Amino acid sequence: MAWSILLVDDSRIVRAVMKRTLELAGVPVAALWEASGGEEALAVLERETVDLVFTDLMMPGMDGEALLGEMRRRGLVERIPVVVVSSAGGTPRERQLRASGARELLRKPFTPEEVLAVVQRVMQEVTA
Amino acid sequence: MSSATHVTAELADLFLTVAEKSAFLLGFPVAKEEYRAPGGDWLRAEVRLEGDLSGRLVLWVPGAAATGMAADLLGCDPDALPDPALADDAVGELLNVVAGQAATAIGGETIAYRVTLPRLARMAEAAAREALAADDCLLFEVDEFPFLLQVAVAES
Repeated sequence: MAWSILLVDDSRIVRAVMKRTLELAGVPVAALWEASGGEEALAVLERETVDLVFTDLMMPGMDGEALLGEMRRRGLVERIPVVVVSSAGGTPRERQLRASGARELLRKPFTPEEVLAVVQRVMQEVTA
Repeated sequence: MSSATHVTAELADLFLTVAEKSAFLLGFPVAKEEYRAPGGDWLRAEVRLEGDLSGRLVLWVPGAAATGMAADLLGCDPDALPDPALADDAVGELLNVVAGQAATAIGGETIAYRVTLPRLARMAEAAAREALAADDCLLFEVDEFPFLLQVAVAES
């Protein structure tokens, strides 16, 4: 099974690295969309069928937390898992993000193996 | 943990590990006396930590190295980089990841903090040389270019 994935990050470099990492990890991708911020991500979510979202936290405009909040308000986080990709970690932050609806926190820098493990875990939860 | 944490050998290792893992850059620490000006302008990136830790991290990268880094990450030739701003993007992202890792290394996994968006500026070599003289500055040779990292972080 291949998944439709949305990458949300204001950095074009990070989106490119994420795309390449998904390829290296061997994640089966049916479609890949990109958004440079929360508003753009919501527009993609309205328009397309998305199975999984990777989002950065710190972005100008609507940031990752606001996006998560809006997805939760619209009832999207239950069916579309959100993986927060961040350089910042820490247990309190992770707990807060999970409470906001994030399924996983992927800490930078990450390896293709770590990305694959996160995708498999999250998608198994959704399809179970 | 000291109340004012400056650049340490541990942070130097951390920087080199992140540079290799996230930007495919290979480097090593260099004594300040061995600094050689690379020519051209520099990119200065700064982020601040807020929360249980506060302070700032500053990364200085020669413009040519930043362009090469961005090209490597995008898988293109440096001359074919579609937008010069991508070099800024690459340096800001590298510092962002270093900041997150440094915060955890300094404060542990139980701290709550955030890393601000990187602020970037093009600077003359004289400014980089001035930064190099500061006590909190560490010099690396990365893919044959000098990189400077300044870390000044303390518990709030």
